Amino acid sequence: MMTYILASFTSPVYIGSTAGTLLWSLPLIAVISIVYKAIKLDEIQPADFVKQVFLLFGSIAVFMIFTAIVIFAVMKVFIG
Amino acid sequence: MKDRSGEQLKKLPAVAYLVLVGVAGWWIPGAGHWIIGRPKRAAMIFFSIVSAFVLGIWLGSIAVIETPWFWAQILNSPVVAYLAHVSKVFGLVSYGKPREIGEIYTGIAGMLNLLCIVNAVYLAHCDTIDKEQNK
Repeated sequence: MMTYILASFTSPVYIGSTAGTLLWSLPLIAVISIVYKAIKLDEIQPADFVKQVFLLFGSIAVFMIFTAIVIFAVMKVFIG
Repeated sequence: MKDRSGEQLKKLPAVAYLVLVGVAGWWIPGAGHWIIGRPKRAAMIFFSIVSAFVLGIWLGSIAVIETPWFWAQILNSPVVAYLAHVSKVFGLVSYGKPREIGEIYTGIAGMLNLLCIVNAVYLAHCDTIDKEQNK
């Protein structure tokens, strides 16, 4: 069992080059939001912390989607 | 929230205490915050950064630990240098999307840990100043 677990870290998993690959950014955004809020908030109250993390997670995700749309539009206009 | 987990360590000379907080935070993500008496933050930092790093090396394998990203990845912990050595000895390779995503996960986890180390040292410095003013 242990060997199997360790072996899984010696070869990469299969990830295709599809639009769905972009979803791999979501766990990373969640980690960034949790760590940032963990060091930023003066007091950590569970309900408030979760709310703050969700707000930051949403802000980053929305901003990235917005940026992707703008870049896509610019590419369409100038390159076709 | 503060606890008394690091009270004994606060009796160290100020510079030694700050260095200890910084080095501990580098060796084990979140350990710096644990030493300065902020265990909740320490636990959240530890689980978040370790999860991101482990997910990164699971996706791209330990072969993603290579320069130039190595300099960001090593900020996770010195253990990363050993993983890089193991990867080199066994000649592991990783290409394409898994490598890209693995590099990004492990690199960003390292840079987040740097942010946490700086924050822990800053908070330790503030505690030291408070302690000296209360004398």
